[in-house]
Amino acid sequence: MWFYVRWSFWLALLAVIAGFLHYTLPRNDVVRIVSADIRRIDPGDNALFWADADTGEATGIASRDVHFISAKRPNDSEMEYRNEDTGWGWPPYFKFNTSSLHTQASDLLSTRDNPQWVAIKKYGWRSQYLSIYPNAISVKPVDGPDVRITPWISLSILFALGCTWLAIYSRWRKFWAKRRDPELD
Amino acid sequence: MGGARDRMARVSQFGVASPARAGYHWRKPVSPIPEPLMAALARLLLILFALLSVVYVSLSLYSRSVRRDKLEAEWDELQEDDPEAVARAGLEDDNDSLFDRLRHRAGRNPDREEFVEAGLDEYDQSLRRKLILGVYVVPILLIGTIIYFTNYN
Repeated sequence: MWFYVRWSFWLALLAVIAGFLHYTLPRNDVVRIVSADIRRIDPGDNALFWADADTGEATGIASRDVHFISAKRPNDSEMEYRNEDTGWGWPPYFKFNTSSLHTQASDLLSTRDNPQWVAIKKYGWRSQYLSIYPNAISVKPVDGPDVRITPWISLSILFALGCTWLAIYSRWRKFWAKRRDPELD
Repeated sequence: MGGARDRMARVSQFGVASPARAGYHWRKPVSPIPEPLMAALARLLLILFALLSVVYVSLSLYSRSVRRDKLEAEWDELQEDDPEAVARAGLEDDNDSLFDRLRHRAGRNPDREEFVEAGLDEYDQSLRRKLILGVYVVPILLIGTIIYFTNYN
């Protein structure tokens, strides 16, 4: 019984951490940009998944305009990205160039007959049920739809986090081992 | 009549701002005090400073305790090597280890306490100790780098 309780707890904790990292760390999509536009958005219960950063403009306004990038994947499915400043807030991308990114994305629009493939670096999730969109961080032209991009930044962050965890965990274990064993002996 | 209507208007405004009706048309209550420019930056720096201070203090205490353990182990090892024998034989030491320097200064072998305290004093003035300040410096450099690569590259 306790075996299952304990393992469910650790698995749930692991899932939360993994989900958090999957949401926050940058990933790359190779897509073809169909449109770059601005839509009025009223964040409600999903406000957590919108940035609404304080970069000089008012925040907490019920209804605001958000830049969007709509794209097609190489397998012809659709993908939409929001394009929002993260400012000085979380996640720490320190993105202030939403308008410039909008310009770059508009510059890379292409048609089905004459596709220009681009790599969009983004964080976040697309969910149609929650109406949430990943936030685009950068747009770079690539050679074709089959380009694979190694996420070096995410890998290094995961590596650094792993090292930090190991360093703290091993010291923690040593700390308790030193204090417990004499009592047990 | 006019007064009553005003009061009603005010009541409904409170209604909109109350947490009970937080939801679709909820509006952040407007504070009468204007937010300072770059309040978000100030908030980030404040949180960062608090977090890094916790890390800095923990790391300082940890590093000092590791140094203390090492000094105690070093002294114990020296006892095993029997430095008394070295002293009795009147051998001159040509290395300037902490133990020998303390011995020359006091004219006798330092006891364990003296040895450890002197070693920690030396540690407090060492570059190693000051490197822990990197806890504050590195994140600021990192933020600068991220800002550059996100927005200007």
